[in-house]
Amino acid sequence: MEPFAGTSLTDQALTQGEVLATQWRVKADYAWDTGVAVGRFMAGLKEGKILGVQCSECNRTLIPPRAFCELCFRPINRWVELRDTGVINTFSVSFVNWDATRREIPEVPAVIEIDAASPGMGILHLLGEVGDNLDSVLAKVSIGKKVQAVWKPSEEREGSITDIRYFKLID
Amino acid sequence: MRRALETPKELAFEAAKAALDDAGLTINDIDSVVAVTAPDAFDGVHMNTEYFADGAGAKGKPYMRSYVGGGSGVFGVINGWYHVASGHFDTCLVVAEEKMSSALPHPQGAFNAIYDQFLERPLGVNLLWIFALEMNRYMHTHQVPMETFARVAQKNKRNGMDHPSSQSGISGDFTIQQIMDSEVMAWPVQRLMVSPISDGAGAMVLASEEFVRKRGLSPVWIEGVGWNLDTSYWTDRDLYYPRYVEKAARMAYDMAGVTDPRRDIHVVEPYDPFAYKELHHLEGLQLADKGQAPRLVEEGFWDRDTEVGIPSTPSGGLMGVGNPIAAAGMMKVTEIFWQLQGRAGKRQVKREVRRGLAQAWGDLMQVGTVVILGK
Amino acid sequence: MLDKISKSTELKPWRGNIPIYHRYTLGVAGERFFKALRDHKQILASACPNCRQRFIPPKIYCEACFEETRDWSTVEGPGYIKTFTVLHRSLEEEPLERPVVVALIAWSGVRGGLLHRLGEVDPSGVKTGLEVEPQWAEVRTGSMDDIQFFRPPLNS
Repeated sequence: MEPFAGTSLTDQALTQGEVLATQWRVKADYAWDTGVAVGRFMAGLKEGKILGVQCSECNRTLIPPRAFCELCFRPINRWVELRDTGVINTFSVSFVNWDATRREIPEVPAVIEIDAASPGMGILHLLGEVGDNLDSVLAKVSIGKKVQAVWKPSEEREGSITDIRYFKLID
Repeated sequence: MRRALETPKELAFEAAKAALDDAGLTINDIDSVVAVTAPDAFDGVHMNTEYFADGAGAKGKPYMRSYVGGGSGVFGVINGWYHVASGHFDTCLVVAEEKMSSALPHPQGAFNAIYDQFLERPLGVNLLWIFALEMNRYMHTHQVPMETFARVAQKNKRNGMDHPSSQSGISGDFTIQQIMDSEVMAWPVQRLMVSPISDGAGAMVLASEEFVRKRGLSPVWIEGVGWNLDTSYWTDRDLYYPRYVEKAARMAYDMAGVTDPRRDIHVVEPYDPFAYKELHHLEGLQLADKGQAPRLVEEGFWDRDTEVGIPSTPSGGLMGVGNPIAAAGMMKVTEIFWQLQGRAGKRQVKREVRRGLAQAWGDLMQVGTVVILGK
Repeated sequence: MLDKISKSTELKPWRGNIPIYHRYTLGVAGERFFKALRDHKQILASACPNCRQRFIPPKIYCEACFEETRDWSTVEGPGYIKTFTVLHRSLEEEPLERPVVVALIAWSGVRGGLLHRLGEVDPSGVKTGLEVEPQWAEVRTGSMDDIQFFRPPLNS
């Protein structure tokens, strides 16, 4: 097959003005209402509690909280306080920022299954106190290990997922 | 291409025109048009498919957009299929386009908006996390060594050297060691196990049996289509296995009358934005038992020149050709088309092929789209 | 679960944005069109080899015949106003000091047109069909602003 049509450009062609280009920045900012379920969850975080919801049909205890059970397709009204401990379901050691720039000290995002929720129910958060390079993190962290939330002091909490600074290993 | 001079309209035209020329048809033979892209934020054009629709031949024609994020390339073919299968149209031109080089400083700025704005984005997310988390879960569950993923990357990057749209610097003959030594981006994801940012377009003409007979065309047939969506509460799912791909595949197999996929599917193009994803999807597609796709890598079962296995991603895929998202899904369907017609040139698989499958995946790691083609 | 919130202070909107901007290449046709504006003060149209229709802005394909265009040429004579609007407020809805006239300018025998500002003209005197010419910018960079605005021909 012959190469298909198309004109590939080098970085230089664009940055040195060999080819023409225009720039545009969308002027769009958003203000989202947290909604009913997440709003209450956030209020719980401010009090230092991790809240879940329970479906009266399938009896699953769910986190993140939601106003409906997507399996039974019924509204949910029952709230339960969960523990602030859990188990690492999976994790990564990330050296990349959102804009693809490199970071020296990695972040360690993880899915954490929260204790007292139904099996497999987790949230995304960060692990902390686990080292500042790949080898040290991998030496400490593994799937299945127990973790606990490290909260901001109550006066600094504002009803945000970042009211939990990170999760740390326990045992 | 890494960066195309062509605008989205021009990319769409080049692909659509090439598809029409290949079929020996003109735009007057086309009754309907389906256009697909991933999020508009990449090209930076709101209503992007409507914007490039004239370049996709849609002027004055019944036109429809279909959209399921990364799954869109294959989903567009599914949408085109029911345009024709409904009996409403004799022909449908399906055009997929993506121009990701437009998004600065990096398309991740838009990608990240798939994360929950209350519970996830405040943590400083980036898109690689979700893949790295899924890959770790998969390799932990089945105890897969990193070398196996490197072998998948090596295979696809070698296969991509023979593709007419291969992006420079992406395909090549890399050693396992080079791949294993490439920069750790978000462990366990490494640079040479990730697809690049790309610009491109792809197109395909679908036609009814009657039209094909009347015009004396030599087609391949769409034998099955399937698609499925899982919950967006991705932290509540076990990421080691893509159930939604299984459901999409079973839907397509039922329609195609495929009772034993490992016997009846002879070539496969699973979606491979990351090396592990190919194996993950091959298991979801029921072409290997859970945890067995990695073992089959070692046997060469998925290689292009296999005589007993099922060649997987002979095109080179997203890792060996490039990843202009929706266009990459379309590229997978066109590869199966060429393989079945025996026109894939250097990429032609060794074994005899009568039926093949293309699959894409996307949204919040939750959608599977499958098309089965046969001779 | 659907409680009514009675105090507006209990509402906490979550703010955010999508932190990207875009760089658009002008494309195969755009390169040629804008470089002709910049380097030669010429407005180019492209033509379909099949139906002979000319297009402005030029494109690499005829959307009706779906053929690649060839035969690029400059448009002849003044353009004319196909339609126009008079703006009294800015994008942010602030009142403008002087109204701005925005017009779609077409050339006879050529499909399409250019959207641009009008200058040196009394907004109340603008009419559909009015002939206009480009006022070229001193410094041209290969953009629509290489034409400062369109105005009635100086010799009319």
